[in-house]
Amino acid sequence: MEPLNAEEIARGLGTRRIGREIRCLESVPSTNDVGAEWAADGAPDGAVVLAEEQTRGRGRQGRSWASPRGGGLWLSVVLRPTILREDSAYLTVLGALAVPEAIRLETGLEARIRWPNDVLLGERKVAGVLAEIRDFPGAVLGIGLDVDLPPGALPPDVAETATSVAREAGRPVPRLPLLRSLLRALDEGYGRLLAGEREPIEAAWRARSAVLGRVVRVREPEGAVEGRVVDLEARGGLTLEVPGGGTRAVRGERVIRLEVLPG
Amino acid sequence: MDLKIVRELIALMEQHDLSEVEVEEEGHRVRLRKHVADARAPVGNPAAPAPAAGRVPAAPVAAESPAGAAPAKEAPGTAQVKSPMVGTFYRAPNPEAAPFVDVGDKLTPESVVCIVEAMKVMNEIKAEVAGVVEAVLVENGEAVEFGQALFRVRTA
Repeated sequence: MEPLNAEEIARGLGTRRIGREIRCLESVPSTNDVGAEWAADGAPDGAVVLAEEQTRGRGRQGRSWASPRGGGLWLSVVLRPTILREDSAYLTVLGALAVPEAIRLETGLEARIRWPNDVLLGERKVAGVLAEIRDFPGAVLGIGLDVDLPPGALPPDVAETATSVAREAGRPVPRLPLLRSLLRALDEGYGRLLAGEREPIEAAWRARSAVLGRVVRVREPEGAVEGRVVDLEARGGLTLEVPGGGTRAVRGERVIRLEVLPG
Repeated sequence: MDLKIVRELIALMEQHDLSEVEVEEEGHRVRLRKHVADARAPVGNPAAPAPAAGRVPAAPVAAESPAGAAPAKEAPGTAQVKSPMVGTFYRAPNPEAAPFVDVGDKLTPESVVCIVEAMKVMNEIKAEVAGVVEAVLVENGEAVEFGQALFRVRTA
């Protein structure tokens, strides 16, 4: 697969903030780490760093994120949003929302957001989002999107539940246009967040939800709970209607695993 | 300070039923306090009458500028590091790593003391005070509230 090139990405991109500076790297441990270093070194709001390969790509709590060479879009965006820290959860929302938008534009496929930070095509995971704030309001929003994974690229336990855009589309999907659509979608959402327009962001995010209205099983550190999702809130709350009546609140960061059940 | 921020703060207070909010930014500090009958009624106690949040107008803005007034509640010579948000408290960057800080460690205002995670956003929290860690007030992995004390620091 042809390596990504910063000049090509930026040409006619037309975004206001996202991608005002772009760096394409070969192989890095984690683009979030590179982004944090760049942020400390004065990266502008909206700076984007991409890598062809991450050797230590990660999810939350030290879990790893397989990022084989050329198999996807592994990127991090440096953001300096003028928002309250309380609202930093919106960064995850923006990241998760931009991915389905880009996938739809490039393939027509409808991806859904599995609360709080996964993107699914069908029932399988195609992207994940991880935001890190080291020096508030300086934030790094990391996105990993599987575009075309070579066979055997993923560890067997992940391979069962993961997919790629190309696999679902049934054809090769070039990374460059997908990336450009992703950056534009991020730019639009970010502009709205900065303008204080949180309701339309939240509404779009709910409309894309893979879990709202569905019966789910949520595993938390204390144990598992099942119920129908009756409400979602961008700042991190999910409300379950539990069997036998009553509701139960679940916080996004408490979720170890969330399964959507039939029905 | 931008009036928009003050408005945002009021919205935040109503949304989370807070009786007091304090924000510091670029040397300006604003503290908003709501007059409710008993602001210290335990949250979540169904027997206690719920404070009529939303209907009580926010108290006049007590703007202190520049920052400098010491927080009143802490014991003399100590300060608390508080959570700036609702989330889950982590003492280390990942489960295998050593804690950012432990009792007896020296802090500068820039020292990272913990992570508070909300919605997969990992927020590194800085001490914002110099001193020595006297106590860790929250267990690793526990849920924390906005403004909840996380560490006690001896400053003197």
